[in-house]
Amino acid sequence: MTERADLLQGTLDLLILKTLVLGPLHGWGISKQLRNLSDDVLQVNQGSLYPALYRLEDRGLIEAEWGISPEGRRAKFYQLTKTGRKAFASERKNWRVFVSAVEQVLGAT
Amino acid sequence: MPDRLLRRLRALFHRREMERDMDEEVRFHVEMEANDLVRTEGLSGAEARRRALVAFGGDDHVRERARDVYGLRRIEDLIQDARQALRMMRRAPGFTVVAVLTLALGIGATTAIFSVVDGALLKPLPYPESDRLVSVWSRFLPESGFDFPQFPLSPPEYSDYRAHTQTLDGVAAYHGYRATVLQSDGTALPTRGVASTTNLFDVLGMHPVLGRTPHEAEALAGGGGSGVVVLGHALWRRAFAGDSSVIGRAVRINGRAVEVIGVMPAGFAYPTAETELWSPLAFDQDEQLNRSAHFLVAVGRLAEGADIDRARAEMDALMVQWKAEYPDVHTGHFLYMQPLIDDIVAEARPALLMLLGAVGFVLLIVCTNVVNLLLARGEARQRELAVRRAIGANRMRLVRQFLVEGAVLSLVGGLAGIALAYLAIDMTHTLGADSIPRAGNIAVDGRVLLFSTGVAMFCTLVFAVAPALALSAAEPHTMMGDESRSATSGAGRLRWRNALVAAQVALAVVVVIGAGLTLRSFGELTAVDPGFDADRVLVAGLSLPSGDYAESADVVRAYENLVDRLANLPGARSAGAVSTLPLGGEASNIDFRIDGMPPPAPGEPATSGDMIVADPGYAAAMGIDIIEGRFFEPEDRIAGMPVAVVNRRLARMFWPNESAVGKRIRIARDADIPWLTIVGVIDDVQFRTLSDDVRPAWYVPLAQMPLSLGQPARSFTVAIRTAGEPAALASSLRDAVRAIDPTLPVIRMRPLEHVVAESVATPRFTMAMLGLFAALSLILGAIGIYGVLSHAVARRTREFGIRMALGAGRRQITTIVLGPAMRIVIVGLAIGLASALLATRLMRGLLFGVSATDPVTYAGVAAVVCTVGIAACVLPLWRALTADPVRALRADG
Repeated sequence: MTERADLLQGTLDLLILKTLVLGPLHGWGISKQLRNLSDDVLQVNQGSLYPALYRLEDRGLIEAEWGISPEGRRAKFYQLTKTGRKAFASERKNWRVFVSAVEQVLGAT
Repeated sequence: MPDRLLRRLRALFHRREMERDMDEEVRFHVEMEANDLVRTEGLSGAEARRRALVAFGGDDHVRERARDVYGLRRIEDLIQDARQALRMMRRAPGFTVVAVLTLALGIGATTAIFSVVDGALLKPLPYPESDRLVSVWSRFLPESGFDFPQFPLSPPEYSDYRAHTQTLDGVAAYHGYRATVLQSDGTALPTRGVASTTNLFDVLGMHPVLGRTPHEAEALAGGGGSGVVVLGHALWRRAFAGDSSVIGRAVRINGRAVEVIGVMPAGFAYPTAETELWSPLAFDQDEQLNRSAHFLVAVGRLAEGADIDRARAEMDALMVQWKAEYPDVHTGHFLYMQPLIDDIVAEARPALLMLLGAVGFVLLIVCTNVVNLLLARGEARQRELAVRRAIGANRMRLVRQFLVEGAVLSLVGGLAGIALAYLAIDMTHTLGADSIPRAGNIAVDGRVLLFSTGVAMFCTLVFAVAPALALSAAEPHTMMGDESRSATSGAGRLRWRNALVAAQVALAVVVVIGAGLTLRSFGELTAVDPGFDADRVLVAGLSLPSGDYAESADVVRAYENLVDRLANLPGARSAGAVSTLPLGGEASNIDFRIDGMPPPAPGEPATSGDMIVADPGYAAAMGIDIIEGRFFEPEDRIAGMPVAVVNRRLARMFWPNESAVGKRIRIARDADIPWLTIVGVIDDVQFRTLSDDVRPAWYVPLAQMPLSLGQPARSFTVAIRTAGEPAALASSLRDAVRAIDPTLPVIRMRPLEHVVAESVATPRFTMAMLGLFAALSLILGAIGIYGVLSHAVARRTREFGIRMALGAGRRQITTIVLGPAMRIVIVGLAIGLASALLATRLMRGLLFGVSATDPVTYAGVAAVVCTVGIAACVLPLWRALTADPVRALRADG
């Protein structure tokens, strides 16, 4: 078993947006991508993933469209909207400021 | 944002589709996950599926949370609450029926009265930018010697003002006349016309649909201006079959040929609904100079950017000038203006607003009643609520449940109320057609429905009080322990309900006192002696066209001939003719002189009154008492001595201590008009309304009419005193008229009693409506008292049982039961009487012969309210007295 980390509150949205920056994905694709990119450290609870997706869609940051997956199955694909792209950029900046601030505090001697 | 709303709406309306999408997405996810597990960990298909499903963690949970995101949860809860509310309503049919019915009555009555107020008072007049239209009148203050708050203008007053005003775009003047139009089929049609300055149409902003309106030159050329005429749409359809070739044709109006130059659009009728002819008005030399000949009404349009205050200021400045320039005329006499709509509705406004106020009170009573019912039910549901609280329903959710129940009640009650309002409006149209201005405007329309919605929302808000009160007692810890076993419970909650019922009684007292005062006032009004005997008299109007009856002699001959025939009809006792029928007559207001008395000096009050033309049979036919001397004789002819009969008021005014008979009177206008010798004094007759002060009046005989009038009066009313039912002579009257002149129409034939009834139609309507509201308030108040009391008795049956078992007699039980009820009634009564003293002050102008603080009414209402209060107690008291001690003690172990 690899070590797993719980997601910080609010970071899931940021991570989802990140996976979608690379291109449209369906729900399972997003969760797989997150696992891959984090080397299986980040486990997304499906019970959180889909509500988060609907929430982002409701806020107009992503939009969904039914399409055909590479396996030839009908699947719902999510992609970033223009506002979503902007939101991601600013969220990422916020996150970096936050992380460096936390690092600074923890690294203080 | 709209996208978001759209998505949510779609989510709501395409729920099934949404759910399917979610299902498919979840299925797809699980499948992909399983495939992945097979690939990476080499599991069997079934095992991979199981693991994938477990990892997903129960798809119901996911879907629930997804729904929350879309706000579906809240809407679903609401629907569930509404369903629950309907279930509760079905489960308690008694409660539901009473609550919905009272609400329907309250909302229905409020809606109906509002639609009357809206149609009659609030809707704009049917002219473009009608809020800029003003009417101009003159006023005589008592210092002028007259007291006419609203009076016409004289031509010089009008012309001067028209030349002076800058704040009005235009101001037109007119006066009305009776007209007989000869139709293409040869029959005569009676109608009304207006002679107006040519700018009337511009001022009103109305244009003819056909032809044109008169030019200034035509007004001057006509000399009194009757050469051309504009027709009303309905008249054009009726008399000329809507033929557009009527333009340029000559028609005979009042026997004279005039050219039709235009047709006004359908629905245009100014100044009254009956007006169908408009002809140009011009003044002759005399009229142009006589500042005291008041016969014009003026209407103006405020200029762009001017408001009525500026126009008034300008007019007031002019009045100061006039007073300096013509002190003899303009002392205590001046022009004023008001919004045009006030001409039509000002008189009816106070009564209608009072009805609106009263119905507002009824609505409050209704709301209190329903709140009380909700509270009573809330108490019955205390345990249910407490249990729901205990198992974790949050407080907001319970409050919302109550609110939704209130809203559902208001909705159902409101719908039923609107249906009731439709019925009520139909009834108003038949009952109140004569007493409400612009009755044709009254309908349940969008504005009215919007108002009803507002009322229903108001009710819902009021009902929100109920849960607040009920829930405060529904905390689990207080309720779970509180068993119905305890003998005296819920005192705190009862206090609320008692207060509500007391408020209800107070409101009802105010409404009932209002109704009582109106009833008394109406009694006083109808008790006024009109000066004639209306029992078994048939009256009918006639108007002889001036073309066929050019000379006074023709008119006199025709009416003498007709009256002679009428008097000899079988079933007729006597007959007569008169130029102005009492009640509903128009003010003629003619200046007169008394022989031997100097004419009033400049600045002194003028002497004026009504001049009435009557034939010798008139006094007997109408049953007017001769006080002194005689009425006219057939011998009073043009060749004989000119005579007059005066009314008691005129005789008292000039000869308080001696006989008027033998004195002489004449019209002031022209010194050539001969003196008339007064041969008799006749009883005062009410000419306009029963409530007016009687004005001086003198009668001249029909045969001598030419002596006083240059132009003969051609419109008369004939009256037949009958032996039996007056309506039975209707067809013989028509036959008699036809025998004289087959083209002559008979106008407004009816028993004289109807004339009297019509004259009090408005106060009767107000009284009927207020009476209805008062009855409603009393019934609702009684229901309120009954409800509280029977509830209290039901709760205390055990207590009464114990008391009786311990030896309490019926007397004590009665005291215990009635005591609180009477306290409610007395507190409510006291508050109600005090409020009524304030509220009825606003009705003062509507009352006749009774003071707004009339002690008889107040005492009577107090007695009625107490009686109703006691009556409401009878049933609950009987139940308390018949409570069986044994059963009461055993019940509920």
